[in-house]
Formats: sequence, structure tokens, C-alpha cells
Amino acid sequence: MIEAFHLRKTFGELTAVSDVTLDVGPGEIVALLGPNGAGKTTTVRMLAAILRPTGGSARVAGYDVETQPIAVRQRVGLLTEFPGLYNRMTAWDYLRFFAGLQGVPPALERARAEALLRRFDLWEARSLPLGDFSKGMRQKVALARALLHDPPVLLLDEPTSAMDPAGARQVRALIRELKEAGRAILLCTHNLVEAEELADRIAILRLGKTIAFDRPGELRRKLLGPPVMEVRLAGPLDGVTEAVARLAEVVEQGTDWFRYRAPEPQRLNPRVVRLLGELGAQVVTVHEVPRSLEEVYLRLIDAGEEALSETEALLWRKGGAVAVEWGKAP
Amino acid sequence: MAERWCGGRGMGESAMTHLRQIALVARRELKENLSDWRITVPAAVLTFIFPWLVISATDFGIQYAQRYDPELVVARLIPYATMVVGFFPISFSLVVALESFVGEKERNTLEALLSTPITDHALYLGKLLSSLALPVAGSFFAIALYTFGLRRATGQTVPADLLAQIALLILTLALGMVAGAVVVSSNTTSVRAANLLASFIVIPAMLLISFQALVVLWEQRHVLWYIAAAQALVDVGLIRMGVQLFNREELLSRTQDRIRPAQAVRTFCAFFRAEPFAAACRDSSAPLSLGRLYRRDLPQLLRRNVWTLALATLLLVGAFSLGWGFARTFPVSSGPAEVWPKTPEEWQALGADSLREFLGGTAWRIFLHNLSRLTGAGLAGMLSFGVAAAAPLLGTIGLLGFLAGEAAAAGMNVWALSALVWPHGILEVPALVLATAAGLRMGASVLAPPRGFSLGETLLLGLADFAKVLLLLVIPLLALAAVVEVYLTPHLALFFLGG
Repeated sequence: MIEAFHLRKTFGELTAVSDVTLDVGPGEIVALLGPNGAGKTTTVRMLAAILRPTGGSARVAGYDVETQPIAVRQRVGLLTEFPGLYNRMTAWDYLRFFAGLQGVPPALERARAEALLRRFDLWEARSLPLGDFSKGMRQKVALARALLHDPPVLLLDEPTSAMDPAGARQVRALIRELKEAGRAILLCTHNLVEAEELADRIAILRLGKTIAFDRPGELRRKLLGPPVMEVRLAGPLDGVTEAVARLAEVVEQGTDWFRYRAPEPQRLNPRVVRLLGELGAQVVTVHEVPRSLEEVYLRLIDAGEEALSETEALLWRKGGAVAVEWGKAP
Repeated sequence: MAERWCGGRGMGESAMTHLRQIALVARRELKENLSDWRITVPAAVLTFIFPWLVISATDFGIQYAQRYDPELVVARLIPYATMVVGFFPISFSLVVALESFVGEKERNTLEALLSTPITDHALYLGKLLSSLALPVAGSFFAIALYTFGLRRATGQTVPADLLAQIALLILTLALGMVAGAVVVSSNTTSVRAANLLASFIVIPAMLLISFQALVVLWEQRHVLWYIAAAQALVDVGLIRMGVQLFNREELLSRTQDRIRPAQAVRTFCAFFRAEPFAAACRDSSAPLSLGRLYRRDLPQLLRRNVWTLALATLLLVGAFSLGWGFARTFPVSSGPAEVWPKTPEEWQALGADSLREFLGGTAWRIFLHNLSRLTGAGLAGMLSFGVAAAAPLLGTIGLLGFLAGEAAAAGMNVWALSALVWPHGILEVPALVLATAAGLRMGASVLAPPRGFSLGETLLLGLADFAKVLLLLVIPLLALAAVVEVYLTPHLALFFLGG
């Protein structure tokens, strides 16, 4: 549903996006992660056919963002990073206005607006001016606006950023529902827990470029190595680790526990457990050491020679642009 | 067929959808304006209360004028007062327009609108209509109230043709202010910055209104039709410019309101280094060299300026004819023809040195004079859609036509007299036409900036083209013409005129 190939966007001398390639299928959620200024919002704007790519190409719901922008906008629901609302309008009027602009048939306008307001617990407040709404309520209204025309593609920029935990949970549940209903969802977020919870795949942007794009498990494996298993025994190790070391790499150990790397857990773990039994060790627990997406993200963003501070990144984007005079690739 | 980004109807999109979108945007904005007491209260005062004050003032004026020349005062006071009543409410159009266009950007409500299938043109038109509707309706209503109230209070009526004139002036002025506000808004990111820039609209509007008031007070009301026509032309230009600038790309690209002279210089140099066609596409070019400038850049510039060259040539013919006609219609009693030498002997007695002094003195002085006029006019054209760029051509050729007409009226041999002009004119007139054409194009380029170009970049691109035309053609022609004018023209003139 979303296919982007080597997308690039420059604004005069500034390079906002240098090379973004990703795809999102129907019924899939892809989380777009990256530090501030990485090019997430510009990428989303290009995919929403609001900004024209300087280079590369993208198709959304089968339409080219550059040559068929109106068809793309008809099929995309966009939740913007800063969802400003018309403060003097009521929630009801606001949704009806956008339903009209999105081309929702007049007969359906009321039903759609009502269903969404009820879904977000805003029905009772429908006649109040939006200026009176709390941040969370405003975010919900903006999300409702993005869903009014029942789009097959959703581009959600920080959908839960201003919400309280209950509201955020409600929105996450809705996002899952939308995924189940076959929508393709691109989710921009700084909330890595949320990304891990919702996303099927993760795309990480840095300096306007996709530096990683895969399933969370695969990203962990690629960046943090094979899974690490932790074994806890009822008593001291008593030389158990030396025996285990013949089967797997032991990476850490304590008085009554040790950890080993398991490149193929399905094959290796039964053998380790069998060995421990043969050695008479009393196993209390065997479990995989949790490794968060945050570790993967920080490893990618902060590690290595290419790590840059936000200031350095800004200077790179400006300096990079000097080399791309006339918008040509450096 | 590709859909257009910045306007037009998308594939399969009907005109009805387009109109519906325009109506939706206009209706929403209008409701928003009507719900804001900061707009409605002053607008209501100017629409419903102010006309009554002006009626009282008019009544007082008429009473007071009874002892002098009542007819004269009435003839001047009533049109003036009607204009005042009508013009006050439209002052709101600027505030409403700035709020509508740049306010949305500032409050982050614009991106949601831009993410819908509405075209840039529909959004622009919807906002334009909503910004116009309230002030213009208020203005017309105030005039109606004044006309009705004046008749009841004093028995005086406002002439129907005056009402039509004022209605047209108000409509075109309000449209110009709103369209100008869009141009201002497109170059700012905050209402504050837009308000500061709005003086570029307020000051010309104030001057225009003052001029219109003077015209009314001088009882030259027919001139108001010409002013309305001129305003309508400016409106067309501003709307064209606004349509080009009000697009998603431009609106979301601008994030700062800083003037960066160094960057402007860099951009100008980059445009100058590139070939004209490549510069407009931000494409790469062969390295800059004099050979390339003449072989590649110059033909491209002439092709790019073909329409303005044609226009400048037309203006040349028109200015000469107008000058000639003016001299025949309104001959000056002791005009130039009266003081010129009549016989070959008189011409011979004048001598080459006197003629040289009459033509301008030294070659350097003539060259600098001509170059500074053309350059100054070209640069002034940047701020006037190119109109000012035509001033030297219209002035010089118009004067030439007038002098020729005067000479013809005095029975002098115009063909022989032309020897005072044609030797250097052969070089100077093409330079004048070329510089005028380049200046016209530079000024007019802001009406249709190349895709992806900001207003500033468009002007810099035009400036680079203008500079190239000056350097490659105009300056060499002017230099040569100045030398000819000083060293050859006086002798040739004496040869033809002095027998």
C-alpha cells in the first residue's frame, strides 16, 4: 500500500530527506523512528502528497505521489505532528467540514462523524468549541478527522503524544483494530515501547536516510547478536558453566545463574537443559533476556563513527546541501 | 495524464466538486469571522453607525455651504462623502485576509487542510472569497444606508454612475488588498511578520484612496473609470502571483522570516553562472565563459524574452505615435520647433561642438546617463510587475515622437532632422528595447514563478537574466552608441541639415 524508493527532499540549501526506502503492506503497521530532524515529518508529508519529492518515487494505495497527488490524498488519513484545530468550531462542525473536503457523501457525513465521536468518547462534547478541549481530546478529534473518509492508508505522526495513559491505550487499541481491518499504517513516534507494541516492522531514519528497516526481532538479532538465555539454578553453579560452554557461548554468570548466547534457541535450549539435568543441576528458570527496541535504536543512532549530536546533524544537513547545488545528489 | 499539484482539477474531479470545496472553505472562514467580535463589532460600527455620522456631517456641510456656492459644494462633498463611507469598511479586508492566510499557518491548522484532496486553487479562492465577502458586503451596505439616509435627511441624491464607480473602485481595491495580503502571507510565517509587511499594501492603498479623493474634489470623475481599470489590472497581476505562491510546497517550505543577504548573493551568483534554461530547472550547466554566454545563454535569453521584446517594440511604436499625435493635437505655442535652426546656414552656424553639447556632452556622460536610467528602471520594475521598466522607453520615444510632431507641424523636414538621432539611435534604440524587455520580464516573472521557486528566488533569477542582457548586449550597444553620438552624429546631422 505504501512503497517509497530512495525518496529525497531538499528545501533550497537544506536537505531534509536524503534517501528513504520503505514499504508498508495492507494490515501492517510500520513504525518510523528517528531522532528530531531525521526527516520523519518530511517523509510523511511526501507520502501524503503534500510535498513533492525532489528525487526518488513513492506510490500510495497504488497512486504515484508526484503525478496523482489528489488520488493519494483521497486515500490517506493523515494525523499531523501538531494537529492544530479551529478553536471556534465545535467538534461536530469540524468533522463535518473535513468530511465535506474529503468528499464523504453527504448522506454518510453525519453517520461517520457520530460514529467516530462516540468511538473516542467525545459525543457528549460534540457541541463545545474545540478551544475548550483538553490536549488529549484535541488529539482524538484530529485522529477522528484522519479517519473520516475511511482511508486504506494511515500516516500517524505521534498519535498518542498528548494523551493520558487511558486515552493512549484507547488509541493503540484503535490502531490495532484498523490494522486488523487491513489498513496500512505508518506510525511516526518517539515512544519506543509503543512502537514495539504495535509495529510489525520498524524503519529507523537518521540524517534523512533509512538506516534500518526490518522486523523488531530481526533488528535485535542483527544489532545485538543472537538471543541471550538466562538460567537460574536452585544452588551454586559448581562448574556447570564449563560444561555448558562446550555447547554455547557463556556471556555472563553469577553465583547461581549464568547467561549464554543462543543463535538457534529451538535447537540449543533443549540440549542445554538436557545437559544440566545430566549434571544434576536443579533448574529453577530458563528464559530469554529481554532486549528492548530502545537498545537497538540507541545502538543505531548513537554508536559508531557516524554518531552525531542534533547540532552536528543540523550542520550536516546544511553542509550536505551545499554539495547538492541545484538539488543534485552530492 | 498527471494531476496538477498547484491547481486545476484533478483526474476525474468535477467542476462541481471544485466549487463545493471552494464554498466549504469560504463558508467556514466566513462563519469564523462572524464569530469573532474583534472583527464584527468594528465592522458593524463602520457599516451601520458611521454612515449616519457622515450623513450628519454632509447635512452640516450643505447648510454651511448655502452662503457660498451650494451647488459646487454639493457636487464635491457628496461624492467624497460616499467614497469615505464605502472605503472605511473595506479596510478590514486586509486584517481578515492576513488572518485567514498566515494565521492558519501560525496555528498549525493549515496542514490538515493541505492533506485533503482540495486543490491549491480551490483553497486559495475559498479564502479569497471569504476575506472579501464581509468587508465588501459591509461597504456596499454602508453606501446604501448613506444614500438612503442622505435622501431622507437632505433631499440630495447620489448619482447612479457615481455609485457604480465607487462600487467598482471598492471591489477592485478590496480585491487588490486581499490578493496582496496573500502574497505577503506567502512570504511570512507569522501574523506579526505579515502585519509588518502589510505596510507594502496599506501605504499604496492609502495613496490611491487619497488620489481618488482628489480626483473627486477636482470634479474629474471620469478619471475614476481609468483608476478602476488600472486597479483591476493590478488585481489580475496580484491574483496570478498569489495563485502561484499559494501552494503546498511553498507554504510548508518556509519556516523562517530571516533575510539572508549572503545566501541571496550566493543564489544570484549560482543563477548567473548557470545557463538561463538550466537555472530555471536548477539543472547543471557547462562552465561559465564568455564564449558560452554568447553562444548559449544569449539565444536562450532572447527566446525567453521573445514576448516582452514584442511588447517593448509595440510600446516603442505606440509611444512614438502618441508623442506625435500629442504634438499635433496640443501644439506648444513656442515649442521646440520654434527655436530650432530653420535654414542650412543656421545649422552650419551652429557648428558640431554646439550640437555635441546639445546631444549630451561627452561619450562617458551619455553612456552613464543611459545606463543608469535603464538599470534603475529595470530594478524599479521588480517592485511594479515590470511596469517601471518601460518608463525610459516610453519617456524617450514619446518625447522623440512629440518633437518630431512639433517639427512636422512647423513644416520642417522631419527626415532630415532625423539625422540628429538615427546615427546613434540605430544602436541605442535596440539597447533600449532589449533592456526594457528584460526589465519587463524580470518584473513580470513574479506573476508566474518557476515551479518550486520562492518569490525571492524568482526575482533573483530574473535579476541574473537582466544582468546578462545588460552585460552582453545593452552595455556594449550603449557604449558604442555614446561614442557615435558624440563623434559621428553631429557631423552627419550637419551634413544632412546644413546642406
